[in-house]
Amino acid sequence: MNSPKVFESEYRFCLILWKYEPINSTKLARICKDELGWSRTTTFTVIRRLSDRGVVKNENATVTSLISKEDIQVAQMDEMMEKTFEGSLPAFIAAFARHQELTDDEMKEILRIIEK
Amino acid sequence: MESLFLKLANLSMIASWLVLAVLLIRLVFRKAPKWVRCFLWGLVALRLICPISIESVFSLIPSAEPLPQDILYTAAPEVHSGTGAIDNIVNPVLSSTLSPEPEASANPAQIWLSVLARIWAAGVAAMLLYELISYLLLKRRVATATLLRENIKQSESINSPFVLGLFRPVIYLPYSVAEEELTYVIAHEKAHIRRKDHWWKPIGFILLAVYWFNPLLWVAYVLLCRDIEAACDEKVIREMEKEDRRAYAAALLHCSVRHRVIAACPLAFGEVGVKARIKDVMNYKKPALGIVLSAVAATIVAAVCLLTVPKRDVNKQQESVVSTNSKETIQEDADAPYSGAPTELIQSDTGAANVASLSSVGYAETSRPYGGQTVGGSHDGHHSESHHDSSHHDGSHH
Repeated sequence: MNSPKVFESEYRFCLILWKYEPINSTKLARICKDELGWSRTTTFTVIRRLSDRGVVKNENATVTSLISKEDIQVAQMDEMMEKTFEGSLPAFIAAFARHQELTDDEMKEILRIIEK
Repeated sequence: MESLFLKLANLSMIASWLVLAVLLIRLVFRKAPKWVRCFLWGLVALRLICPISIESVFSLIPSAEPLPQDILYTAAPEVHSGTGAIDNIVNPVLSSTLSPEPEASANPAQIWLSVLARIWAAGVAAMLLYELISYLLLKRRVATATLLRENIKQSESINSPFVLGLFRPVIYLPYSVAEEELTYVIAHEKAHIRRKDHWWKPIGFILLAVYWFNPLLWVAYVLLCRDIEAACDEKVIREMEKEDRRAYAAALLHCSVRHRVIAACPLAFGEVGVKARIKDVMNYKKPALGIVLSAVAATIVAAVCLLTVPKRDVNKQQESVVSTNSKETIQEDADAPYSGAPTELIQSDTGAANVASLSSVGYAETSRPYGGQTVGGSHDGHHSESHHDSSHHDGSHH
């Protein structure tokens, strides 16, 4: 099953969560205030929204994540593939290669991973 | 409320002349710096806010009170627009439709005014409510905006950059703004804050809400928004080289989105008249001192002539005529020889008025005849003629 979608702002919240979890929700709100500029209300609203979506868990005021960073990154990439490259993997690879100036070895390595 | 509405209607009519002048100045002094335009709109706002009018002989305003306060009570309601033509068209209609019946308890003018005043109040409330709700919704949308640095935040729920907040203004940017464009966008929004635009625009909108019945003021508001953006552009690119300006214009283009025209709070980067702004940015040249000076001079002239109102006669007669019986009043003429018809001295209430009329030949002030029962059509002609003369006199007296 695909990972649920997270918005960019929620992704940045998750980055903080992954760094500090498991963490008390009040402490988390304070960190979000410093790093994101969010009010306490906003942080709690986001926690509630994300737990409704199954991305995080809030039990006894302790917040943990249910989905890992890698999962989210894959989901983001899937979405980008669909939107920007119309689901075409070759198109994505071509664009990526052009952008990154990969060496032949690196290209081979990537192709191997994909074909797995 | 009715008298407040009347006062506001009068103020807005006076201000309309200033708006027309501003439109003219904007057209003539196209090459002048854009902040001049914003200043001109500031003059309009001043006129709309200030209930007190300074009198001056230089005033070009045809009439300080086109809708007299006593229009409610006179036997023959009429307007003093200051131009004979309009008076001649409007007043006969008014006197035929709004003249009070002797038996009626309230004269038609009062009823009409009461209805209009309530409609006006409803309009004001509607506009302010709309603005409040838009603001609250927007605040909610950007609640999850993440901090970039200082007072700059980024959000995925907005399409174009803007400034929000009166006392602690925050710059909101979409995540989608590219790295290269970030500096320009931020520079533009910071310029808005430095120019206090996050105050001027809401103030302008509140004025628009109060005076919503005047279409010229809607034009003024739309142009104000455009001029604010253009002035900000100029402030940013003043110090820039051509290549930087090109990048700035590109950033403008990328950020342009379709929008609703009247939005008081956000000072959006890409909202208003993008094509014109890009053209101005690319063709920007530091304006010559001569242009700036002449534009400023024109502004001062406009302020003196159109922020002030014509002087009233010190002996102005106030007639609060009851709706039943007619009372003939003094017709005060500034200069009997000019009017072409003999000054009509019927019954006078005060001897002073008599004296004033007699010695009115060569008087420096222009008189302002007040509404009263008219005796036939010639009176009306008289009315408007003397008004016509008043404005002519202003020029000749000094």
